[in-house]
Formats: sequence, structure tokens, C-alpha cells
Amino acid sequence: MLNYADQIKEKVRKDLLNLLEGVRGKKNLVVDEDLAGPLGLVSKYSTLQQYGVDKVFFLERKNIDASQKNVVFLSRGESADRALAIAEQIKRLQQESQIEHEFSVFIAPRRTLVANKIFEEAGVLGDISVEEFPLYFLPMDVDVLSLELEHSFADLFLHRDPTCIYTAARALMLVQQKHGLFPRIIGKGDGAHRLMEMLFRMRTEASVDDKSTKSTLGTLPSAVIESLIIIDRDVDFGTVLLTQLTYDGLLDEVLGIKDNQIEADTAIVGPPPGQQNATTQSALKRKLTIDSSDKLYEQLRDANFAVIGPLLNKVARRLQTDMQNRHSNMTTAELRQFVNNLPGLQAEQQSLKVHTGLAEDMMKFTRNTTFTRVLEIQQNLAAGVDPSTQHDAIEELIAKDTPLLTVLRLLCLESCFFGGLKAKDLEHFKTLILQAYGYQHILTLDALERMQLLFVRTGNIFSNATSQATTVSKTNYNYLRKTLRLLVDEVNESEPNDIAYVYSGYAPLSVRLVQCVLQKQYLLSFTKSSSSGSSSSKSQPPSTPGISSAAHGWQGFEDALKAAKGQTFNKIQKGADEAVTKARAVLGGGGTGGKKTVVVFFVGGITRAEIAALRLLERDNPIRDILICTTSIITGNKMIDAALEARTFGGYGE
Amino acid sequence: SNLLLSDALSSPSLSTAIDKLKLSHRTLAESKDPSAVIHQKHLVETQQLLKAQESLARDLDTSYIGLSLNETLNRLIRNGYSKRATKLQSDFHVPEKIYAWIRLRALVSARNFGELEEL
Repeated sequence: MLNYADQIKEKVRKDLLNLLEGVRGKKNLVVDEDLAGPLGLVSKYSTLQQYGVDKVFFLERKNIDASQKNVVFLSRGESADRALAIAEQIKRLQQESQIEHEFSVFIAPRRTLVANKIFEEAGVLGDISVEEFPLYFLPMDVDVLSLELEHSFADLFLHRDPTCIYTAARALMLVQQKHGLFPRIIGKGDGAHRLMEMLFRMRTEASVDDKSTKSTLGTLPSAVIESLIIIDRDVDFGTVLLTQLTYDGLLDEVLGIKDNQIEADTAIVGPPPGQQNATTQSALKRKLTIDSSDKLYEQLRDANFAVIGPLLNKVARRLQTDMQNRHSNMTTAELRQFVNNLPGLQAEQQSLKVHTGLAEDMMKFTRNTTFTRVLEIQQNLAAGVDPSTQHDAIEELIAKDTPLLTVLRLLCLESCFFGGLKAKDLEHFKTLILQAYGYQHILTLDALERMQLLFVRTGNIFSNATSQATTVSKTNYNYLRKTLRLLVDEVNESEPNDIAYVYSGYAPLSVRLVQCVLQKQYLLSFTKSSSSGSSSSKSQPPSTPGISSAAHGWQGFEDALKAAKGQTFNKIQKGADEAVTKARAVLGGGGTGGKKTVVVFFVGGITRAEIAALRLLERDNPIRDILICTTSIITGNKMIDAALEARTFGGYGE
Repeated sequence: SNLLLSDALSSPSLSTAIDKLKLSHRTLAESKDPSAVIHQKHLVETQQLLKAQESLARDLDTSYIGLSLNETLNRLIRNGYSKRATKLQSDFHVPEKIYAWIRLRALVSARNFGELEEL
């Protein structure tokens, strides 16, 4: 497998250090808090120190001191308030301190017009040197790249601000520069369509620019990447709204994972190594990094939460026997081997302790009656049970003062799965919510409607699933549930054989769509029995699923795709020069035998459960690797949170 | 209208907040669109609640302003003002079932078992 993650990590680090090196002497670094986490993924504080960084400040705290002559700001460039904050800080420093400062501002990922304008208006543009810091994809894991644009979901669907699609396109262009053009771009959804168009435009622009210089941007289709699949989040909101049931997903739901780090009570996970004696501060929070470097976590993360207990138990037993072996008789060679393994064993034991703690904590959460109630409602809704039977339960949750996020999530879920709520029901729930949680949520509800998460059902949504129109305004889950078999009754949670295991019986639509491209045979084996599937399976030659079947794009599933929201497309990128392409095909003829990579891009965010599902896809597909790219990693709560009105009436002077 | 509502949320005092709400209400007044009508109803209720809370705060010496309706009811019952709570309930048409839950929870947290038995 191509190691994109490491390459990108290396590149980001180099870029950053080069920029820092460009500023001579010692300097203070000011980072905005959004970027601090991602940076932690690529470089350590000690490396920064080697490059002359004296102190690191957070932009938001506004406490930069004047101890160094050089001040370096590092910030995201998209939002105006960051630039304003920087300008303000610069002005303050200029007034307060005696020494002449030199300011540099590094804007990631690119210099924007807005930022320039703001610096100009603040009158600081002349005193600073602005530099671009090309930060696009960040490696979250070996097979997961994220732009880490935390607000991308709200930007796209609430504010309808397509900036992050542009950023995504730039990021994907970098991948194309490195590995050649994506031979085929397949996608679903309007945002995905836009991204595809942008990629094509950028390519023509690039080829015009570089005509003289014989560009580095490969004009050749890539030999290692097979295709790019783009899925727009708004094709499938429903999946996100369900509670994720993988270990990783649940951790994200309950504790929140940020930049691969979680904060947990030391009481649960034990004090950080090296501070074993500091038991006095028991309520302390500890930051834990979790990624695939932790071998145990790698085993656990994608497993359904129901099997975490037995899994942990098994590992514990194995470790114990390993440790006990030392008491038995060993030859010196064996002994040496054992001693060599010892650090590994100890580390494993340490992480076992941590994860047992975490799992126990989450067990407490999942045993909670509210959680089970909510899960029950969710499963019923996903299964397509008449939603009005669930209304009583939801009302009860409201009366019990369950967090608003949970309630809204359920209502939105219903609205997504059933193409809206009945006007009367919706009004009824709106009144209940406003009474229970305060009238400021008029704004919240309004925002949800604008995001197309909560809406009134319009009569015709179920009437004709495969109408002539090529696009429908809403995803019709009722129809897709059958055609793509979103519901799987018997899931094997310990040895998953279908992606439905990540939600204990419901297969995420988004990943099913990916399967439509990559695992046609598998999907068709389900649908053959149903009447709608049999017609489409005829058109599919019964050959082995392989490179050939992917070449068909969406073929065989056109009907299903029509029932999902947004545009569908399937384009081929040809090399600029046919002759060269042929030459290359001859030269690199042997290349086709190797593993090819499929890049899957989620516009608007992906959940950790979906990542787990995609990993299962990869496991079952020996000829391809899947590289998952996204704008950010989200959960249902983050989704609703984007709409939530935080202010309340009150806080007035008496 | 939403802009004005947002304004009302961040306004510094109660009276300006109510004024802003009125304005917000008026911008919708002409519209006959069903969703706007619902919106109007909610805005009126918002004003009512704030006014009711204001008078409660005056009479009872505890701050009720800024609480949601259910929280207000909860606190009233907990502090033993069941009559006022019942009045609010009928004013705002809180469903019986919801109100029963609120009462139950409030009485339990106040450990008012005498009244609990009456339920």
C-alpha cells in the first residue's frame, strides 16, 4: 500500500519547519486553537524548539508577551475573525512594547482576500510578512486523511459556504500532482458534483499555466490509484444521526475525540505514566492519544461495542500467560528473547489498563436507561416502523429533560428516514421543545430546517420512488432500505461479515453506495431475491468482481441511486496526450497486477463507524486498498450542535 | 425576524429584549404563510413567558428569568408554589402528561412526599 499518511505527515512537517526557519533567530509562536491539535499530529514541541521557537501561545488567549523580537502567527485563513484577532494582537504589541517587533503571519492553507483586506484596514499589512502554509490533508491514521475543518459541516449545510469544497479540491489536486490523475471520478450528491467540476477546472487551469514548463502535474492517469469516489454528506444524513456502536465511534460520541486525542478522568484511565505517585489530584483530566500506534487499540477500535468486553478479556489472559512464562524453565536464549519483549509487553499492559477503564466507563453510559431508550427508538426508526408509534417515547424523553441534542437528533432522524414529519406532529414537537428548553431555540429549529434536517413531510415523497427525474430533493430511505438492504437482521458482531455490524443491524447508506461501486457482486447477491434487484442483476455479467466491475462505475444500481438525493456522476479523466498514455501502458504493463488504491472522499464529514465499515470493505476486497479522505470527522451531536443556539434569555442585570 | 430575535437574545436588559421580540413579531405580522403564523405564535409566547417570569421574580424574590417554561414550572413546584405553576400550565397549554412528569420530578427533588401521595 502506498503510504500516503506518512508522506503527507512528512510534507506538512517540512513545510512548517521551512517556514519557521525562514524567520531568523528566536521567536514566539502564536497558534490558533483550531490548529494546535492538528499540528500536534505532525510535530512535537521539542522539534519546534530546535527551530528557534521560544514560547507557544494561543491566539484566543490574547496573552502574547514581548519577550522575543520575532513573533510568528500561525492561523487558518478562511475566517475573518482570526485575521481580526491577529491584527488586534499585532497592534497591541506594537503599542505596549519598547522593542521593534518583527511579525510574520503564516496562513493555512492559503492567503485569502479577506485576510489581506483586514490587515490592510487595520494598518498592519506593511509591518508584517504574510506567508502561506499549505496545510491540507492531515493524517488521522494510516488510511484516514482529514482536512480537519471542524466547521465544515456547518459551513456547507447551514451557511451554504462552499469554501471547504474548494479547499478539498486543492487538497485532492496535490494528491493528483503526486500520483497522477484519478483515472475515474465517481460521485453522488450535489456537493460532490461541485467538487468534481472544480477538480476538472483546476486541471485545465494548471495545464494552461504550466504549458511552457512541462508541468509536474501528471498529465497521465495514475497507475496506482484506481478511482476517486466522492460521497456528499447530505445524501445520507440519517446515518450520522444514529448512535455509532463501534468502540471508536462510541468513544467519540461519549467523550469526544479531537485530533486523535481524548480527555478522560485519571480516575478511569489511571494517571499518566511517570506520575504514578501524584494521586492527590484525582479529578484531573488526562489527554490520551489514541491511534494505530497503540496495537491494542488498533484491534479494538472497529469492533462492535458489544464484543469489547470479551476481547479485552482475551488480551488480558494472553498477556498474563506471557508474563507467567518467565517462571517456567527457559534456556538462556529464550530468556534473552523474553527480556527483549518485555518493554512491548509492559506497554501493552499499560494500554490494556487504559482501555479497560474506558470500556467500563462507557459501559456505565450504555447501561443508562435513557441510552437504551434512545437506542431503541433509533433502531425502530431505522427499521422503518411507523414513526408515530415512537412519538410517545420521544415526548417522554422531553418531559424528563433529556439533553436537547438527544431529542433533536431523534426528531431529525425521523425526518430523514421518513421524508419529513407530519405537519401537525412537527408543530406539536416544536411547541414542546420550546417550552421545555426555552424559546431561544426558535433559532435552533429554524437552522435545522435550513439544513434540511427537520422538515414537514410533503405527500409525494413515497409515491413514486424511481420517477423520471434524475435527482430527487430528498433521499428516500424507505425505498433504499429494500434495494440496498440497509437492514441486516442477523449481524455477527464478533466476526463481522457485513458492514451493518457498525450500527448493530443497520448498514450505513453512504458506505453501501461505495459498495455499489466496489462490491457489486456482494450487494447483488442480496438483492437478487427482491423484484427490483433482479432486473438490474441481469445487466451485470456474472464475472468475478474485479477491476472490470469497477470500470462500470455505478452500473447496476442506477435505480437505487435515483432514490438518493443529489446528482450522480461518473467521469473518466484521460491523459492529455493519448500517445503518451499508450506508451506508458506499454511500459508499465506489469503495474496492473499490484494493489490499486481507491480514494473515498466524504464531503461534509464522516463518522468513525463509517470508517470502520470502510475498513471492513477493504478487508474483504483483496485487490484494492481504500484511502479514506474527509473534510472532518463528525458525530450526530456535532451535526446538531452546529444549529444549536447557545444563548438564553437571562443574564440581565437585575 | 430571526435577526431581531438574535438581537433580542444578546440585548442587555429585559425590557429591550421584549421590545426586540415585538419588532420581530411585527415583521412577520403581514405574512400569511403557515410557517410564519406558527413562528408568530411562538414569538408571542416568548414574550408572555418573559413577562410572567418578570412578575414572578418580583413577587417571589427568586430569579426565574431565562429559564425555559418547564424549568420555571419545576422550580415553582419545588419551592412550593403549586398554584402559580398550575396557572402557568393552563396559560401555556402544557400537555397534562408533560406536566405530570414535571410535577413528579419536582416534588421528588423537593422531597415533598405529602403532595406526592396526592398524585
